[in-house]
Amino acid sequence: MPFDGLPDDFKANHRSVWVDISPELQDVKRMHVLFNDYLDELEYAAVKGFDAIGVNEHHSNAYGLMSSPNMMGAALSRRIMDTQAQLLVMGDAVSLYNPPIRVAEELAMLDVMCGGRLITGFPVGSSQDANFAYGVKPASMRAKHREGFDLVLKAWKSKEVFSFNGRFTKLRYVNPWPKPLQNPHPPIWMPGSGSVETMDFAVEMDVPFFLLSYFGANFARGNFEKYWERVELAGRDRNPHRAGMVQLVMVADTDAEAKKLYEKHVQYFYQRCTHIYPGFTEAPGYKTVRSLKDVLPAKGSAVKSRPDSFAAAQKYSWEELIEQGIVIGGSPDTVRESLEAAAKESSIGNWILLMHIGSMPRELAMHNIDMFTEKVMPSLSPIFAESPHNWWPKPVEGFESTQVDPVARSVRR
Amino acid sequence: MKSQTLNCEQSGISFEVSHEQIGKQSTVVWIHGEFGSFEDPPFSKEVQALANIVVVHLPGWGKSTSSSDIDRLDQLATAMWWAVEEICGDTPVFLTGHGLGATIAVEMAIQQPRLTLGLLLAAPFGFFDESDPGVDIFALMPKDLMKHLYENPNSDLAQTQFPSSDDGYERGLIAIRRVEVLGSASRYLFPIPDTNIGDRAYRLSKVPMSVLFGKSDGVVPSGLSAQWAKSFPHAEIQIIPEAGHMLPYETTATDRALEKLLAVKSGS
Repeated sequence: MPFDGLPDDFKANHRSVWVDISPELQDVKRMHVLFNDYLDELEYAAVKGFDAIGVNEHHSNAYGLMSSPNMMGAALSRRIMDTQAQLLVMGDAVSLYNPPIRVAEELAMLDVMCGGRLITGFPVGSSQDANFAYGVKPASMRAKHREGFDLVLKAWKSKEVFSFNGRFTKLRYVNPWPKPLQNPHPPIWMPGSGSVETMDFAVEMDVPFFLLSYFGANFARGNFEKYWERVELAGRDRNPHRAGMVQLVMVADTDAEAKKLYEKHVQYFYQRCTHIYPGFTEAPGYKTVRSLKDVLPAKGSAVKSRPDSFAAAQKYSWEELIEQGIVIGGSPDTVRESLEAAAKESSIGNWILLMHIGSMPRELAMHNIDMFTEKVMPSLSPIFAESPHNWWPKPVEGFESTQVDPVARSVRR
Repeated sequence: MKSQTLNCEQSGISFEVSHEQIGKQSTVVWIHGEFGSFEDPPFSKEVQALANIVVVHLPGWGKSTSSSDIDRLDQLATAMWWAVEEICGDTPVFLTGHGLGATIAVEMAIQQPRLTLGLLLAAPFGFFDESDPGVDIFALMPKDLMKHLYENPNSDLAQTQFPSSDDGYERGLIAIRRVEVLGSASRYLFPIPDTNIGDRAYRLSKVPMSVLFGKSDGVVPSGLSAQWAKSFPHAEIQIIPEAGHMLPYETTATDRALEKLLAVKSGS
């Protein structure tokens, strides 16, 4: 959910889009429009047939204005009641909340409000958000995440009031009211940026791993190879729905039209929205030495910057972004073929599609949603249909949703 | 100096300790700073000849290791005393340190003031001034940090702080080393290096103290000397000109201060 008012000279005159971006660049009047546009777009995607609509969490950041995913989720929860869409909250990094029981409470409220359609994501949190914006110690972040996660899960599942004596959180009485509608709790997805610890955590908890990357499935191949190896080692099945990925998708009538429509907005994203001071990318201690050694180049190799880095992407042309699979954009056939190929290549059973990118105006985002839902989605092959999706909301036994005014269908197109 | 490994099985810490044969009248414990590239004591040979110098390498910085989740200064100070007592028994010692090492030295002294003959602190963390916060060592990239660490960031000394390499693998190891040491330091100094030391200052009213600041220190601003002076009115506080955060290695000020501390205690 980017802010679209970063100036042309942003990169030259500002250190970072995240953490210490100048408050003077804020245009809160414009943000009023943007927040409503983004909510409209999400509602519209639900109406048009997306399986789920999702929100995320960032802090002190001009490319992600949602500092509270649960507030956005609350705004959406009643507006999707007359659609088939589920509500994905890919935020709530538990280590950021004190006490983390607040996360259990708010997500349970959301699940109750939206009638048991909630899917939860439990990110460890980026270093920019968790360490620099929220002051969580990098070295203890994973332990804090694990403890908070355990607390949330126990709070949802427990039939009794209990005491929780953690290293970071001590609560004499744990008793969230309400608990989630889905019993014992909503599906959990585990997002990560590629560290082996997060993959291992997902495997251990038997939940899907979602790679949050802005560089596409081609560059993610190695990550998914590593992930599937770990799944296999743990004796779990290779169900493609255990894997998910974020992907920028832009659809137009033709490949040439896609460039014409979307190029400048994508360039805005990679040249301004991802201009991040390198020191904010990973606070020392955020990743373990083990994870860092895992990606060391071979002895004697030349020093070179990674092609799947924000620094490199700033210089890519539209054609290079497409060629490398960073952006899946073009005609409906091009997009469908690229998505299916990527899904097959790495057994990716879930896609979080970013339909609004950079400085894209509302109308263009709506067009992108139209094009995808009308011309790509219907012809996507059901390549993983034989694999059960074990991490998707299931109908709640004995539950019937209350009547909510069908407001979503009144979204302005 | 000979090195010795001390394993504290109950705490999961393996301490690497370097020292000469303990035979002189006074013992000085040196605790290095947050940057692992400078772990040896900064004292000259002449000054080292005046006392037994014991270096206890911080657990988590590479030479000493830890499997424990020690993330509070008081826990670390307790562990450090265990190592010091293994070497020195219950003989009182001088505690000296740089940066985070100085911060730990104060915490140790607060725990056992009667085993502390004196404190020499170079660029200690402990207080914080919102109007002059100093730079964030956990965010700044090495090239941007240098000018805040050194009076002369182009000096030969400064060039050894963050070595470079044309080999991708070697450069990766250097980057990992930085993460290892600063990641360990972040347990105690992140996000704000305020340890509320002033609240416990009363424990040290009888312990001789020398506190040094580098005038050009961009990490621990010398303006914090006023807060130290207020909480520790008996301490000798100096702002060293032409020195930055790495002042023990940039100047001989720590030599002079240690000589003075040793002389005061011995009554000469």
